[in-house]
Amino acid sequence: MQLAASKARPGGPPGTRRGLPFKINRRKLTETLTAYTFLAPYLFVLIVFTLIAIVTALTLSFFYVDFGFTTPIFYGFRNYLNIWYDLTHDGDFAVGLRNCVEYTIGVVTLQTILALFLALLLNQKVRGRGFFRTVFYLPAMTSSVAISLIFYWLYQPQGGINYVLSLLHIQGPAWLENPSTALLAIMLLNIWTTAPTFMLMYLAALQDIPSTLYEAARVDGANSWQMLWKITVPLLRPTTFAVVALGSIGAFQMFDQAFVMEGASGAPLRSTLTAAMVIYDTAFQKSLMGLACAQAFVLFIIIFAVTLLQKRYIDVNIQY
Amino acid sequence: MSGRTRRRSLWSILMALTLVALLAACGGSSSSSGGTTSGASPSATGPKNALVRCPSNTNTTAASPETGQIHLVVAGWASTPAEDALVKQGLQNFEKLHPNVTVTWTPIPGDYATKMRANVASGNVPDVFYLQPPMAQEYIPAGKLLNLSPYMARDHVSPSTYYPSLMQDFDCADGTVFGIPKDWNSLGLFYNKTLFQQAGLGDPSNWTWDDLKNAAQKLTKRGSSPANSVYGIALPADASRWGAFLFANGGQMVSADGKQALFNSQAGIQAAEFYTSFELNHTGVMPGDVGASWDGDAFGKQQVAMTLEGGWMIPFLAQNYPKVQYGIAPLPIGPSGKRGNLLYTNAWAAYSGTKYPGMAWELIKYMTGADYQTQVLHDGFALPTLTSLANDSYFQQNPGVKVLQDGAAYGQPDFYGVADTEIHNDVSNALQSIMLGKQSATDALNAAAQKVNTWIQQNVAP
Repeated sequence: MQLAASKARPGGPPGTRRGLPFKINRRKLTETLTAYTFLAPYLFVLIVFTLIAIVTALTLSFFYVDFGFTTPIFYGFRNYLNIWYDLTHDGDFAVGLRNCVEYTIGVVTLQTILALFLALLLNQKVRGRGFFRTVFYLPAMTSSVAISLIFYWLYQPQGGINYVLSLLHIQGPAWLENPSTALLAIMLLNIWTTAPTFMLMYLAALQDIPSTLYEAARVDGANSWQMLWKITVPLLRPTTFAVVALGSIGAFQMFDQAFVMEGASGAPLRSTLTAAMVIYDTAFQKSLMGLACAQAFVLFIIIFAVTLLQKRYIDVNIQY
Repeated sequence: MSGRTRRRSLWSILMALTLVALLAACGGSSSSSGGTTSGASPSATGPKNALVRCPSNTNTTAASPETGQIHLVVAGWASTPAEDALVKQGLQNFEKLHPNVTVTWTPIPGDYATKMRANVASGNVPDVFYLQPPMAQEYIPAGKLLNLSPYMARDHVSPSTYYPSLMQDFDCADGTVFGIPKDWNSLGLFYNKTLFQQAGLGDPSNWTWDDLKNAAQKLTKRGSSPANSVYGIALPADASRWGAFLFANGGQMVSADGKQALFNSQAGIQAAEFYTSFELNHTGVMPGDVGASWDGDAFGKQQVAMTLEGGWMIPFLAQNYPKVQYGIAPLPIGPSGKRGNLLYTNAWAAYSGTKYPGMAWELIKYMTGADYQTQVLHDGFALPTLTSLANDSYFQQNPGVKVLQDGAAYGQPDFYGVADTEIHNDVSNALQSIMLGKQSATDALNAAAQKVNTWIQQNVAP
């Protein structure tokens, strides 16, 4: 093995100094060390707050833990079995996951289409393009809690949205009190706030598409609809993957909007309960840290699987 | 918003101790598993609390107040500025009485119980702090709290000077005291006098459930939309209100050890049917339907003529809706001839690891003593926990507050042991499901009871 390794290195003749099989490249060593020195602060944070935290959480998921009061008790797979029971008996975590799936499908589909649409609009040479770019991006810069509070008032039975509807002689629902509209209301709010971020990603990607392709297509007599479907959309696929994957991850972890607008119990009738809210409730309200860690891992595995599927089917690099 | 400061939170499951708790519950008074009160006079034990096991190791003697410069850290949750000022003033008075003590008041914003839990885990705990009932059932068995019984015995502070229904949550199975209720509240029927007059209704003080139902019908004047209607009563889908009806009907929320849901009994189903009937026959309304953030707000906007709230409504109405003419009546009498009520309380407690247990006790004694409790009453935030203040002149000037105070005689704590959070959530969801017409009272309560019992099986007692 060593021989093979030394042979693979074209630089140094083997065994020149201290019998080492190859010569240490001083410059390379210095470079590596410098790189790690610069990386050190981030690595420290990554190791302490991410790696150790993940390993601890995985360990805790096999224990009964009420941190601070009694010593953890080894629980084997009991936490996971309890989750399985919950999932098969319409428990809170099952409802939370189901709401997440519904929410993710709704939000990701609409926000991706909206982001692409806005990006295409702003990619045109229109007057006041800078102004519109800023205005469209504003929602993404505002804190989600602040926006949730504003929408909380807009969604009241006599709030802004129902007032506008009443001008059109439509009687709006009690958005946040009705189990069939509550999640929808949060979806709309979330699409409005996150679409601009993804619009920016699409805008950047649009600039990358060589104009020669469009010129060639125009020479061939393609109309703009054909150019959109045959050139723009296919070439944007890697970006679409990023947009869909990031959007799904964010949607699956939705917490703050529902928490602010509907409270920790996911009122009305658990219709806005999300998986993240159930995990929070388990960990901090019911102080079952072990079970909460197990729930977090189940959620992680689901998100991971979804992302893999999306990568498989969306992230196809197309070259012309 | 509700002003009842207990957050349904933090209540952990006393694993490993089910057996002991069961034994303690069965053993009753003869149990000396805690062995904590042997050194103290028996007169210093409060009501026995079968829900909480006594710690295996705790102080059995009282330390005398420490001398020299002492610094006490005192923590509670952040409340309204006015209430905060009252606490600060009380602490300053305490400093004047004990010149060698400096007190630092550190209100904790946000989720109090969660942050205190982190403090306990790291061993960095304030000397004296507010204790919520769900916290008590975790802190007491784990030995995190100073045993107050020896101190009460030494200083002749009898637990019976406080309302027993308020003391209960802060005692353990043999009645050893770990916290003293700092103030409390109960529910009353708030009614709009102007709307009552218009509907020709009299004083509701001795109403039965049927009277309430008929009155709600008379008071309701429905317009083209909820926004321009007036409804009889606002009742939220909340276990922390419905419980009063359950108790009035002779029902129970949980078994004595807190390990079995009992709210789906016949009495419970009947109480739920009655409670939700207002919403279903449109003589009652959920606050959101009339553009109010909670039922107190709907009451202030005069869109409902009655609601079920506590003492926190008084400053709220004075500040936001000073023109509303209202009265406070006791909750209506149930079919069994009884009244029911819910009591909300929190306690002062000290950390078992405090450097100054003697002085920590002095502070608790002061804040729960007659001087400060009188101030609590006169400032109108909450009710005093001392029974001796029940005849204070304040009650003559404020008969409505007297009605709330009388709730201590027939009310029960709004706290149900190990499954407290789960019970509150599931029962509230069941009520909402009935109100929305999705389920019958029987189905909804049975499903909720099933859920609570499964939860207890899975998460309590390894």
